[in-house]
Amino acid sequence: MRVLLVDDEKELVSAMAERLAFRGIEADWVTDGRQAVEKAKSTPYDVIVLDVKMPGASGHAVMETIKRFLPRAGFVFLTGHTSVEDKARGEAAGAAFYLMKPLKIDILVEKLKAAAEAAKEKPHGT
Amino acid sequence: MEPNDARLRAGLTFFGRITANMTHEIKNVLAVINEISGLFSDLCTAAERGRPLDPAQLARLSGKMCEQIQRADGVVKRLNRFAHSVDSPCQAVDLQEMLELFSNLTRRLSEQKSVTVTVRTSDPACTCGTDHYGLLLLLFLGLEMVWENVEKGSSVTLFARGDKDSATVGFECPVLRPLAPNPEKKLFWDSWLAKMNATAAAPGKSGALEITLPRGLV
Repeated sequence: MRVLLVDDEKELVSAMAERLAFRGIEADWVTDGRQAVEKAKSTPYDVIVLDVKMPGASGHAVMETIKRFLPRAGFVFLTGHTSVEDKARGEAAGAAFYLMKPLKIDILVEKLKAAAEAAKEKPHGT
Repeated sequence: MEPNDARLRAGLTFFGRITANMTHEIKNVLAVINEISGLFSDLCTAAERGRPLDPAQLARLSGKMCEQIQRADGVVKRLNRFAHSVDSPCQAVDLQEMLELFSNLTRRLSEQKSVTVTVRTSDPACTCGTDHYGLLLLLFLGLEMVWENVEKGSSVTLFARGDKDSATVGFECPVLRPLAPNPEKKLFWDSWLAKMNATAAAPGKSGALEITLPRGLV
């Protein structure tokens, strides 16, 4: 499984990527939405993990952009705080999971696998 | 909405925005510490299975952990100072310190709007006898208008200056479009300007938004 981690907290995503590598998951990381879009254009990620609130573009906006050219990727949102409206908006837009920081790595791995499986079942073009 | 209700609502909204923003930042620090401590644990597990520990990597991770603890300490200190800004309806406020506090409290929110805010050192230092919380709130209402009326990627400078009778704080922007707050924001802005006995000026050509208020007794 190939994963892209997107969060403006560099130390968070770099440590998370190393921890995922220990668990056999190859993870790249970037710190803003623009870089995420560029990376996703060149690499067919199975799952993209997005912070909801980032400088420049929100996680939701980045997901919408990436979905246009990577329609079969799964999306997982990471957030410090979430409201019912945020969660509903993300899920309605196609995010598989909404996870709260900080979280246990085993839970993240479990959700990444589930998101990748769900993404494989997506019909083409959705 | 009556002006008193508008002031109360604006005051509570501001307290909520800042508290939510600061607690969000603390959550981020906790999340980073969670991952770094988890990585320590993963390295120990790998060492038990025969992979040698790298002392340089451990030292680097330990240093990052210390940085995050310092960061959290700074966030909590700022939040504490902000909470104490409501202690008295009129207190001596060092405007330079107030601008530094304001800039730190709102940095992340400005970054989300793709706006960079810096503070210019005022010389000489200027102190004002005023409602500390009310002044922070007026600046925030001003900042919200600045976010809406500058180009993305803009750099905005916070400044303060004073003379014998009055003090002025405000924003300098490369280009500031004419301010057109929605009716609710305008009511918040006008009611707090009146409460603080302050006036505002945003002459479009100068790219500045200024709030002037009496120096008060200091």
